Amino acid sequence: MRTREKITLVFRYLCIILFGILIAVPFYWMIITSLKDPNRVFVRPMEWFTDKFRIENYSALFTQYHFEQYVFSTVKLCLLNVAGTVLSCSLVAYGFAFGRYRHKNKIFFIVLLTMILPATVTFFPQFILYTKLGMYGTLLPLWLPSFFGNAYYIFFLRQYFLTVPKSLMDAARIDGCGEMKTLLKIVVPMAKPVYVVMILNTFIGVWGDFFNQLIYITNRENYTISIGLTALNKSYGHTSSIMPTLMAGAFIVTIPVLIVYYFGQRAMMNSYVFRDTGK
Amino acid sequence: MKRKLTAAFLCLSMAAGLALTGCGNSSDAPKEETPKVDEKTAGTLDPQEVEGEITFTAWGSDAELECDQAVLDAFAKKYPNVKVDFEPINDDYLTKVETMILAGEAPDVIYGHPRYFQKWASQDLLLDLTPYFENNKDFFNEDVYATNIYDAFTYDGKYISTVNGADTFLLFYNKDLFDEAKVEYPTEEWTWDDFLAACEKLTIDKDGDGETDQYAISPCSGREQLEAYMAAFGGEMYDDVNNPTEVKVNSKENAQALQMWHDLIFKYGYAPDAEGSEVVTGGFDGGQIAMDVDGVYQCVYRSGVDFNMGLAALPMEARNSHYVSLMAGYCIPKTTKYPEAAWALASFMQEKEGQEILASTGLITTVDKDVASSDAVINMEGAPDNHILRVTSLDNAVNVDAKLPNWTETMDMVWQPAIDKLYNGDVTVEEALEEIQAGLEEKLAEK
Amino acid sequence: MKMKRKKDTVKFFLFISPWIIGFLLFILIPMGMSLYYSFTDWDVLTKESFVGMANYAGLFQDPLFYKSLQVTGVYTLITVPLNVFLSLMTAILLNMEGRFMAFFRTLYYIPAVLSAVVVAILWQWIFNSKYGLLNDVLTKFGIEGPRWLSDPQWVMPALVIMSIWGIGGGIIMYLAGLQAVPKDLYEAATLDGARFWKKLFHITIPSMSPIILFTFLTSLIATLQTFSQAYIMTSGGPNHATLFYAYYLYQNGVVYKKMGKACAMAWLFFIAVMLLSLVVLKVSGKVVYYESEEGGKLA
Repeated sequence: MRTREKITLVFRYLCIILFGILIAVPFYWMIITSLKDPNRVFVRPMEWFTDKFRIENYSALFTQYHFEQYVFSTVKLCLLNVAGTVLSCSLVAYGFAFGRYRHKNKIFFIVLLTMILPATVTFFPQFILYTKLGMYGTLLPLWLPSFFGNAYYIFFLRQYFLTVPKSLMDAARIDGCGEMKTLLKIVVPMAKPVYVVMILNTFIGVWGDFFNQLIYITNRENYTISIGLTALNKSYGHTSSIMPTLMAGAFIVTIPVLIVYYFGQRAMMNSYVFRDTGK
Repeated sequence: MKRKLTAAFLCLSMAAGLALTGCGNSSDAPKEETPKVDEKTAGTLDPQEVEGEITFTAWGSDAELECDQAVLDAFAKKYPNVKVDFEPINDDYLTKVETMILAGEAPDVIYGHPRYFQKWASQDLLLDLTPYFENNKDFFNEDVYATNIYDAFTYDGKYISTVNGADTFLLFYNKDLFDEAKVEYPTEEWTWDDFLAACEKLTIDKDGDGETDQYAISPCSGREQLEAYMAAFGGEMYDDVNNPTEVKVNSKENAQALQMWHDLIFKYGYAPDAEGSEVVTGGFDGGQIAMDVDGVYQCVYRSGVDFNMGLAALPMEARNSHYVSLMAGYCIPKTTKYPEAAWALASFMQEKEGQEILASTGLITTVDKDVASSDAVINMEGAPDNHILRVTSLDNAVNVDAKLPNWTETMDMVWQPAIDKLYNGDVTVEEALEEIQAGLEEKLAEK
Repeated sequence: MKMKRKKDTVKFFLFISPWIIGFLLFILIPMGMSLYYSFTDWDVLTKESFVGMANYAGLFQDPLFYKSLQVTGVYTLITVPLNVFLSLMTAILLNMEGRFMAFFRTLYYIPAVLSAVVVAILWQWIFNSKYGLLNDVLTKFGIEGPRWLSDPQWVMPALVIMSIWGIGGGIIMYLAGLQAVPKDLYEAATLDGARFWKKLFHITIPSMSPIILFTFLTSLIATLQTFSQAYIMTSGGPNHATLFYAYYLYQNGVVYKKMGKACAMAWLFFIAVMLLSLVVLKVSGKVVYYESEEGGKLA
């Protein structure tokens, strides 16, 4: 049995490493390109290493292309969205978990329905709505909706909230806790994994969002990373000299997300995301 | 219970939606806010008397936008009581401007191509500039202005914009590479045989590895570039691009043109094949390709190349050989609150002072012929040899866009797929042209 | 008693008020508007006029409409099951302790973390037929790579490859789900002499079935709305080979300003997705295993 286990283990590691290489190669290409001299990017056969590390590719982002502005705008949007989502989903999920109303579950059913609502259906009229409300050209359409809840997280949060033992709730009630206190002190901590996922995914989602930002961002001051990179690719796209800088931008943009994810996934791997009420 | 719920849901949404569609539709905007235009005095005010706050939109690289700003500064000096808010838009210009119009915040002066103006004019969105032009007959002086291109800027007999200029598509060539290969520069009389002979000498495998290192000409698969080929062979898309009634794309001349383009890449190998390859190796700009057919606005971007450049034309052997040009101008939406101020700016762009500044980067061949052929422009720094060709070619140029409101869609749906198939070898030149002919006729009938 | 009930009701609605407002403002009203516009010929800039079912009828006569259905359908049919399977298998592979496992999990997740723009630009160059990474590697094996993005026959496989690269997103969900499978079940099975595949099919997959269903459904709906690849990389070509439904919708609405047609397309899509989801849920009801009684019910 021992040898079989060992073989399986080795086999597993081999698979992981092999697939890991396949996955990593494009990413590696991105990094190595960002360090190369523009004229050596597309030689044949491809050069997998470079002897010089051209830091200018990176510094150009900030001296020539105002990249720090893009990062700042994007961070702003991320924070706003995270705040909005956490706030609104907590409130709403609490209401659905502990509220008392005859048709509560039927309303919750509608919430679930919206989970499968395709964005394609609502996108255009939302766009027109924002325009008629005078919000086009501002950043509002990109963060305001997050303050009104997100069906996915409302669903997950509610599941978690429901696992809070009734005894705990009653104890809090006896101690004189109002709804908000109960929410904050007791219920929220029980759903930590969901909050981790929520914050992680919202942050990453806004950081890499393309479509919404494409439609609603018009002035240079509001350019986010996605739009900035796209503009870079388009306007200078007819010479390959932009490739290294473009890849440098892409790489820089990826780092924060990776860091956030790395720590987040460790926090998450230590707890259940899906609980069943049986336990 | 569920049925009731869905029914209620549908009713609610319909009702809400209906309510909203009714309010704030841009065309219902109160018309009494926009002052009426007095035909007799339109555009005749003294510059000191013109006042207003206007928004101006344009696209462009940093250099172009600086140029625009320089014009605006000069404008501000002449019209001290007009305040201009410059809003450059670089992505999806058409969409963004139309969204501004939708939101009730239309700019007052919009830079654009005639095909935009045609569309907006057909939707009755533009101010009729005819009275203004009538009161400023200087603009019709043929000695000063290339009035032959004005037609593209009219709709239904009315003038809908002022004119910035027109850029023809010409043949850029790398003099140094020609010298190295001991090939004579292109002349006005050179033929397609001369052209092919030159190409052969200019396509070089430098290190003998079986791979071409230097190509004679870039692939030129863009629509305007292909139109340049077709025009050189004397072919056309319509009987009259400014008033299309008959589709003429499926012609012997166009077949020859497309075949030549196709052969250059696939039969002779004088032009590279891979997507974006010219981008990759640096292409013409990087000194790796000897010739390129492109709009003369490329002079701006190519002013810094490290080789000697010249301008020429593709061989013009046919009776009807001509050039194609991309034009631009400035229109004024009807909703403008300050028509006099808007006209002041739009017309300033076409007056000598504005034209001189606009021409200074080499971006546009101005409609003012003196400015366009002036020494300052023709012999500017980094200008290619025979720079004057950009002006003389205008006399024999046709708009690269037809005057049709559904032009963009037509090109996307009809032209591009057929060319894709041709490029991929799925159809022959004849089949592609037949398909385009049928498609263009269908689209022509639609509008 | 009535007072308390009233108070409770008020409290309830207060708590869910953000969602209700959002639902009305960002969902109901826009849907109503889009339904209305689907019956008009609105071109965004001028007043619309009512045209009844003309947009819908027009769609059924539009060859490009059918093309977009085909493109989207084929792509979804291939990538969704494929990616669900691959990410599940990979998650199982990665679900073990080890010094480097956190690193590997992050590595696999990288593609999912890159913004759509970066991914599109990156792969655009990787697929370049002459200078791209992929064909360069293939040449080393003596294969001449095809013109990935310019050949209508190869562009779809190219997109499928791209989508496989991004399975990291699903992996993270499955990893979490794998953690929730009771370990004692595995122990018991091993004691009974069960091997890997038996354990996989009889313990892992059934326990994970709610998550698998969830990711399958969300992945299905998301894939049906594929847009960015078409927009950034191929513009729907070559020769409409990548004319995804969402992209065609965008073109009709935003570029050609045929708002009525676009809204009609949106509503047809909505109905199709609703029906599809219902079918999936019904079918899964027989297959998915919920440990608790409450799990299977949605509300």
